[in-house]
Amino acid sequence: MLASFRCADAAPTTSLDLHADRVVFYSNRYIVTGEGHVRVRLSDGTVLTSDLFTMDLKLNRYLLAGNVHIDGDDVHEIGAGFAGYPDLDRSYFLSASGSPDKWTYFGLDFAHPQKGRAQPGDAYFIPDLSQERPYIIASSATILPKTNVEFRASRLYVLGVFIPTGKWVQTFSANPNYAQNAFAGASFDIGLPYNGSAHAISALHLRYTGMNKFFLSFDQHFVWGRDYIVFSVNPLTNEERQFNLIGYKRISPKMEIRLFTQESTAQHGIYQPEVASAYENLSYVFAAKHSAVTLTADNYNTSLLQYPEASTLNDQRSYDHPDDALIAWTGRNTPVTKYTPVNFRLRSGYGIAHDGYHCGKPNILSGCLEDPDRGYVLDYFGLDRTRVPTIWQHFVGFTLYTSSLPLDSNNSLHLNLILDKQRQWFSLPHSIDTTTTTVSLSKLYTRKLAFVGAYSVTQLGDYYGARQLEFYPAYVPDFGGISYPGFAAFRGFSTTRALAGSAVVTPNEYFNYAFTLRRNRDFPVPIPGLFGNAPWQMTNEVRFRIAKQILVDVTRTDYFNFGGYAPQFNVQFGP
Amino acid sequence: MPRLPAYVIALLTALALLAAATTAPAQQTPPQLPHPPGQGEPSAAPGPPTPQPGPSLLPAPSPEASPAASPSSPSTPAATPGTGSSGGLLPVAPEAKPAIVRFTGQLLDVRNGYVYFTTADAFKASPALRIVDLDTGGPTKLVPAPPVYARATLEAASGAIVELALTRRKLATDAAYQQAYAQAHAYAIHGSPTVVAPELLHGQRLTGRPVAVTFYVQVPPTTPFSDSVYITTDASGWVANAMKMDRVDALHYRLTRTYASGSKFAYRYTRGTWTSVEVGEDGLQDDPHEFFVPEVDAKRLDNTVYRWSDQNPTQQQVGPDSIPTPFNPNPFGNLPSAIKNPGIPPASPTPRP
Repeated sequence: MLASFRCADAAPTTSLDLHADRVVFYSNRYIVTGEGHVRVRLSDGTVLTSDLFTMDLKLNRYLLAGNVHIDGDDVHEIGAGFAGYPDLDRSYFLSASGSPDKWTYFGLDFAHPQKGRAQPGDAYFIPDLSQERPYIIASSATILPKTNVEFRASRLYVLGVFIPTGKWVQTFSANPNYAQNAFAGASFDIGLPYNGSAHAISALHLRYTGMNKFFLSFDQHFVWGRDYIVFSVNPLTNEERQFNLIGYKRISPKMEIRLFTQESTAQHGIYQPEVASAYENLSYVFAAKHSAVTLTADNYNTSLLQYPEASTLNDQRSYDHPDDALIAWTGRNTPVTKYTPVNFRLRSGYGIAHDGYHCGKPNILSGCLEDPDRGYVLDYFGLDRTRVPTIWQHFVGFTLYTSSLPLDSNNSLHLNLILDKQRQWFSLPHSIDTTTTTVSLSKLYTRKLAFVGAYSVTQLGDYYGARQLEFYPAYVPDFGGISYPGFAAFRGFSTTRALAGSAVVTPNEYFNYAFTLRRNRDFPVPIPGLFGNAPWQMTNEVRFRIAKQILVDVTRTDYFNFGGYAPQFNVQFGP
Repeated sequence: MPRLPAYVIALLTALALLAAATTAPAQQTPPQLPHPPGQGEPSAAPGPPTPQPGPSLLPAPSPEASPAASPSSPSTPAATPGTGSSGGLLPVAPEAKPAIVRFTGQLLDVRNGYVYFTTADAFKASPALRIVDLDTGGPTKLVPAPPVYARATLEAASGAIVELALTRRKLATDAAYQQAYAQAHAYAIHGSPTVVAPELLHGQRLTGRPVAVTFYVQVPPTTPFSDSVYITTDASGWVANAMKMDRVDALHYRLTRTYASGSKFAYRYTRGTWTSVEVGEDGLQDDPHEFFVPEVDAKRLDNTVYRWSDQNPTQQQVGPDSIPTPFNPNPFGNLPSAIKNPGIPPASPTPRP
């Protein structure tokens, strides 16, 4: 009997082209249905017709039920049901041309049915969607298993009405690279994916920001397994726009490369821009044993256009072209000893920054007249204004931390200690030390209530040795008519102390409330909108679900004694 | 099993008839269906869905729209339990079949003298098959085609269905379904002899029962205290901040969600954006975690995030929202340049954000 089993002759279908009187997508269940005069064309050209079609996109199985006809080059069959299981590379058929029988097809080989073979017990079950609301209604659809569905002549359910959307591509892939984002942030964003294929999706986005108000943007995804490219134009409909591109390639199992480029322009339509600048970041990651070696490089072009004429007084373009590169190593989490709950992680790196371009012809507004070196240098060193076109640096750092230390027998009270320290040496010469110490205590009362308190001290020191006062002279800034005399004591060493406590209440999985109070004490004293943290900061956050697929996140943060009272309110809708 | 005397069979028949006369047609609460997806959480998505270990004619674990039979109507003259033919589901007396069997199910097709149900069972259709409305008993405009439900009346003597009472309303099944099904199944038409399908042998029975799944993750010690940690899944469209986790202590976060057994989903941890997603200990972008919800009461998933993608040693964030400035040894960011270099304009260009 076993000898009668055959291996599949062909791969399962790679697409299903569905036509029906009514094609419906139920987003809560990830199910597509077709009702009335159903016609499905498989990728090999075989045509299936029936009264009803359903496909569970997540289960990756489909069913044609009632009055089923299979028509292809080698097959003309009539049946009561046809169940496709691409993951099993099998199709199950309930033959009705004569006496009822159960047939199994291997792959797309419909010429050689295997009769009597056992079939899944629920192969012909029709999902009960009586309690579900259609999300998309269309006349036809192309389903790419495990990837996306392109609905045509579709209508989308939005706030109680169905809005015509033409074509709509619904992605359900388990590949997260379809969600990579090349847009800058926005207060509101809704995507309109209008075109798709097995490896690509094109989408328009309706977005809103405080500066640009409502506008359209465009993005294009190309995805090949782990590799992807995302390109975006944002905003598409405004004169000032960004062209972003993110690329990722896994070169080998131990190496990956990532590219981010951005061109910022101000242009009317698609005419030559009046202003254009660019930025590129290239990153290589080499996997070592439990550690990583990263090589990153940045390149800036502050103007991609030709030099303006000197008489163009309104031209504020500057011409600069700095680059920097860094190779860094990050180690693994390593216990200090086998018997102590203390771990450490090391890091180090070596880098260079260089600026080799000049700002251009002397121009009043570009600053070249006042500062003829502008653009050639990364910094001026000291009061003698030593020009610094190239800076080398290297650094060493470590993180020392304890595991969560239980302080009570119930294992509900925990203590954590974290120390992070880094020193950077520069070719100028000077060095920067950064030290952050954090102590936190956490208490779980129940699974629904948790408290966390933390005290953190961050010290930042810029060491110039004997020339310290040359670089950090006594200075009292004045902003908005407010003087900050505390800065007179600032010598390049800052300290930030933060005491924070938070309580989180999670009565069930549909509701969450978090309250956080933070007290910051900084030196030098913070300057609102410019430097430092608000002395007092209170955050209330509530997350709750208003529908099966709509989550509301309401966050309000209040800043006290920081340029007056400044609340910040945010409402976010998510899945 | 010894053959029962005739008078015992007659007595049992009379008792069964009496019981049937007082039994209403099956309209029971439907069994719990698998937890529907949505709510921003992973949905049920087993790979090879609920393959059965044995012959497919056994009722499937998810009894949605399965035939549910009830022994004969009050007028049925004999209701002696018939031979238990389906997997020994019930200890019924042998060689005694009811004259009429009524069962419910969802229709697949009525074709060439047979009635097909979604359980893949086919029954003979009487040449005088009556199609009526389930509620009124009168004529109906419904067509016996999916997704219509039907109550079938099967005549034991001919082994054929003589009446189909149609409705669009879902006809529920209940615990007695197994017993009734055994009776109805005895009349199902079998085609070719069933042979084993190796690809179905290794499946497990999944009922879609709710399973409390707790995600418990250890984050890097460099995770900012004020940051939140989220789980993003394929079922939530990979929205980076789909599910916010609760902080347990400085290094741990957790989240408990209920999923149906059999659910299969992919997920990753983020700090709210795709530029702050977890990466592997070796710095490479890993594939998403995958999880298949087993048939248990509760399950805990322990994961470790070794590092975040935006936390390279230089602490520069690369992405559309954050453009690093060229390296500048001024460590105090927005401090007025006059503090460090009085009278000197800033030298480093900064592209527009």
